[in-house]
Amino acid sequence: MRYVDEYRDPAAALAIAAELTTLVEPGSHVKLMEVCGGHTHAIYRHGIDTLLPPEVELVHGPGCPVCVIPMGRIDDAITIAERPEVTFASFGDMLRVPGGRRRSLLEAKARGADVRIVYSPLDALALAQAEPEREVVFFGVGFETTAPAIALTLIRARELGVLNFSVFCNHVLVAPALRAILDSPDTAIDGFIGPGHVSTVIGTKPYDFIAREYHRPVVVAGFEPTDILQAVARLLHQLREGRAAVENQYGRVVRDDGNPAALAALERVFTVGDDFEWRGLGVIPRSGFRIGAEFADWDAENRFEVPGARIEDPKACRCGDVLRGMAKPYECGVFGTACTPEKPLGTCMVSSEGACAAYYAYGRHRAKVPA
Amino acid sequence: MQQDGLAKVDFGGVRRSVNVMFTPEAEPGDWVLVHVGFALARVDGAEAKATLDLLGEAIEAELSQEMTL
Repeated sequence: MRYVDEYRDPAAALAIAAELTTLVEPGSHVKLMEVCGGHTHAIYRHGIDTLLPPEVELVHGPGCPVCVIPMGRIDDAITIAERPEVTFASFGDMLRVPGGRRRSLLEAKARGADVRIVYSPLDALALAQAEPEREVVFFGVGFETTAPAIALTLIRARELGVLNFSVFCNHVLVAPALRAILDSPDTAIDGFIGPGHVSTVIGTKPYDFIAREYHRPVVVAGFEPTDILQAVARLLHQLREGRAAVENQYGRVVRDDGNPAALAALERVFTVGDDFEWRGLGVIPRSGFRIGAEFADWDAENRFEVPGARIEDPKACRCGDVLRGMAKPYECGVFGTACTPEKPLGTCMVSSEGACAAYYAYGRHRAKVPA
Repeated sequence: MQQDGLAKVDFGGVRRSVNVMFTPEAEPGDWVLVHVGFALARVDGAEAKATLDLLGEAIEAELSQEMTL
């Protein structure tokens, strides 16, 4: 396909890989975080990790929207979904995420709750129009990539006067999560591969603080193999020159100012909430969206009793450490044994963007054995 | 183009209606990046080519280095 195949050229990938070896001091250790779960998957799917010099370590960031939702919010979602009048609509990957007592939305569906998978929030709005006697609730999950779609759906619902539709809002912001990681004393990240798709919406400026305040380089990257390798090369160039700047490797879809129409929709519909509890990262100030006053009637948390459950992660699961770049999936005791994609314990194994799912799918079941 | 801010997008042979309210600059024939039923960005052909040109340079640099070895 156009704009895909040409960025998978093996000769170009090998040429960049050769250049990378000239950019690192032999025996040094450079720790780069790919923020986005989409990048994690691309790296292991294409074997990019095997093309990097041994001095470069990639650690996986929090940019997997399913992964960072705490178990308590899943239980809250199940409580809403089990109401007899409710049709609960969600993206497919949220359905298998276990909440407290390992119950998932899929199990709630099996016990009789009306839970449906939709491809787009607009499909959930269409459900509400088609079934006016049902209360259709959409499970809003995702970073700034996904939030504009939910914002525009709420604007449509208001314009059309669809009152049996609401959103259970769990949208999160990428920049506060990166700040939390940078402030954490036990994670020393030298540079960031910036999330490509979030940046189509927010642009590159929200990362300026990383360069300015923390003196770490950021290169926003596309998702094909040569995109990621180019981003690594640009990060290594910056580190070698002692620079810290925000650069954009993904210019074909990312503009510095982002997408003005999408940002305007976010601005109109959402307010930045006080705090949001992230799985693994804990409570991060001003890191989540709440539905604003103009759309309060479409906020599921105003319409239904939501328990606000807070549940500790299972002790055996190290999703939290994986999401902060503190542990590799194979270092978790239950990885690939008690926790598999078929019967996941933690969110990092459930989501198609989760690091554990990537390691499992592409055979990274243990640390590389030195040759 | 259709009503209600929708347009038909061809996903490698499969056609689907996509909301294009966030990409008012997109015209019929353009490539767009689609997420959960919404076009988030029009692919900029000039920028795409600039990235590819860099790849070409990387291959040439690698080849010339091999020749000097």
